[in-house]
Amino acid sequence: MHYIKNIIKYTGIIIFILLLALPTFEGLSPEGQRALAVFVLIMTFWLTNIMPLAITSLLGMALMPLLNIMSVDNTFALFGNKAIFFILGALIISAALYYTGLGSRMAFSLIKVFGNTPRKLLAGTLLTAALMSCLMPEHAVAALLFPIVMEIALSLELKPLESSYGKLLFLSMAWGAIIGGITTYLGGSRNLLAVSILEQQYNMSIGFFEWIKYSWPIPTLMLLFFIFLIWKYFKIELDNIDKAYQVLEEKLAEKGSLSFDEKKLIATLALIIFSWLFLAQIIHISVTAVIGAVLIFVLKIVAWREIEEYVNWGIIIMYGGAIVVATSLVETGATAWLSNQIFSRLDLSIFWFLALLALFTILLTEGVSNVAAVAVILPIAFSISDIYQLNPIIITLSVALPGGLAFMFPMGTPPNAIAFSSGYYKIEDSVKLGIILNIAGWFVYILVLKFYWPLLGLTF
Amino acid sequence: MGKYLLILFSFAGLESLNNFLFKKLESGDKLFVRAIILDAVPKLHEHLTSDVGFLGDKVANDLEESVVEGQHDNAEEYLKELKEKVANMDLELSIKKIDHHHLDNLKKGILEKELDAVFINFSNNKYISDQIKEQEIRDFLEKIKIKQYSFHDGKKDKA
Repeated sequence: MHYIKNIIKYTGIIIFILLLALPTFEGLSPEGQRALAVFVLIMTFWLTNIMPLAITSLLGMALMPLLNIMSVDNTFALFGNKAIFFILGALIISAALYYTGLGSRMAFSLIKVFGNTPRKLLAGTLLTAALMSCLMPEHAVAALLFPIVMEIALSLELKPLESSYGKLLFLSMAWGAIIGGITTYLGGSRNLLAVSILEQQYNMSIGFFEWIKYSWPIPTLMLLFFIFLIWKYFKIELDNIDKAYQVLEEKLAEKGSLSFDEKKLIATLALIIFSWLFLAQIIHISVTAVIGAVLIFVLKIVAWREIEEYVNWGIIIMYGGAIVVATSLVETGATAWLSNQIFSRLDLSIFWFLALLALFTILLTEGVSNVAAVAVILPIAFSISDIYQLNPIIITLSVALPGGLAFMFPMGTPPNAIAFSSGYYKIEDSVKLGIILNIAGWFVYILVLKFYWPLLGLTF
Repeated sequence: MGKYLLILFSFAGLESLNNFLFKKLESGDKLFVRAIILDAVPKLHEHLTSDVGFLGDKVANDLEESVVEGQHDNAEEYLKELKEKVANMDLELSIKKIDHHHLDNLKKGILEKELDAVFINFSNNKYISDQIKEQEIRDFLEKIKIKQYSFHDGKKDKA
């Protein structure tokens, strides 16, 4: 793996230097060629993870004015994108959920409601993770659920690598979070990053409610498929989960009734979600997110020092850089050149182009961070879609939704890494089952592309 | 009367290791068990949760604590089972938990105890095991040329 990473890294650096040194290609502006060079360099750094993702983004931003691709003002102004402020607000809201304990209360309650038999507990863990990932980033959901699932595993005396139930518990937690994370902008901010790139390139957008309208069949069908596997396919070695159920009851009892801060947070969340769903035409979702974050402080639900402990601001830099790099390709005409010169000779039907695009994204996101996968693939996919004169919203959905479906490897997405650190399963286990879910995800995407999106006017 | 040492870097897959171990042990033997305990998760785990996963410091710390606590509980559980199993046998058992930063005493003990063989369970999971320390002990055992049976998460290594 290390060897492959090095090859990719050095290839990227060599192509970067060559693109800067070679005479300008016909039909491409000098700025466009330099933008392509930076894109290749940043893409390889994101894919190989040789520097923290956020630092790679900063490098991308610094190279824009340095190589005369975009002005300093333009480059840094892009960082002030509304998607960035939505993510900022959403991170603060998510931190409040974690800090006040409302998140873990929700998790305990949901898991308890769903399951009092071994199979129901598995389904409950899956659905709890999925539902919570509609409200919080998927990695935060996995981190929040991990101690609860670990408590369950220990209370049932499940042995690491020996208990198939232990393995399934942690996989249900991670995969529930991953599947649920594609449903809204809150579960996976990459969804919003994709929409932001769409806005920069085509001046089109997808609203909060609209996104859910397009996305929901994919997580729903995948969850149903996984529950089917739990009921019919997986062998469960336990007869009852009484001890775990008792732990859940005790933990929930320890929490007592809702605290005043939790009540204030519930009211704030209700207002925010109402605005996102029904007032998005009047108040932009990013403004609502920022107002929600302010409300959380005004109502003294959390203090700034607590937010600083709970939020990793690196994600903002990562997303800002991704928007800058993707926009540079559009503004310099590099994507138009790519579509005319490189991809215009593609001999694929539109359907197969979209199906293969989704498959390629699923495969890439297994090996690299799914934010990086979306940031890398989407600008190129847009350049190809121009040849087919496709609705760019279909392209955005075809990259962002499959881009969240990484099930096999710990490095694909943080929920996998978090679940794997339980020690309850081997990579081979998640690969074997993950392939099945990858294939299911691809089929579900194809079904939705062919039969559901056309009903909403997304034809191809 | 033989003297054997069981070193546990991993607490996974121990059923198959137990089967192997107890076939080798005979009445009157002495078994030393040294469970290597982590006080924090390896850097690679931090890298995945913080650099790639963008978890906040407090969230990442809570997660790491939970990972380490899970490992401790699994270690306790196994050692308790081992004590119960050995209680019904004519074996002498000595159990110690060792911080993964303090392996020098373990090495000293291996040299002093005149062991007949070492059984060792390494981990394949680099997110929850200190692979550098595992390599250190692996190299040490190679160097002193002691008879050893090594496992990875309960699966016996090929000779």
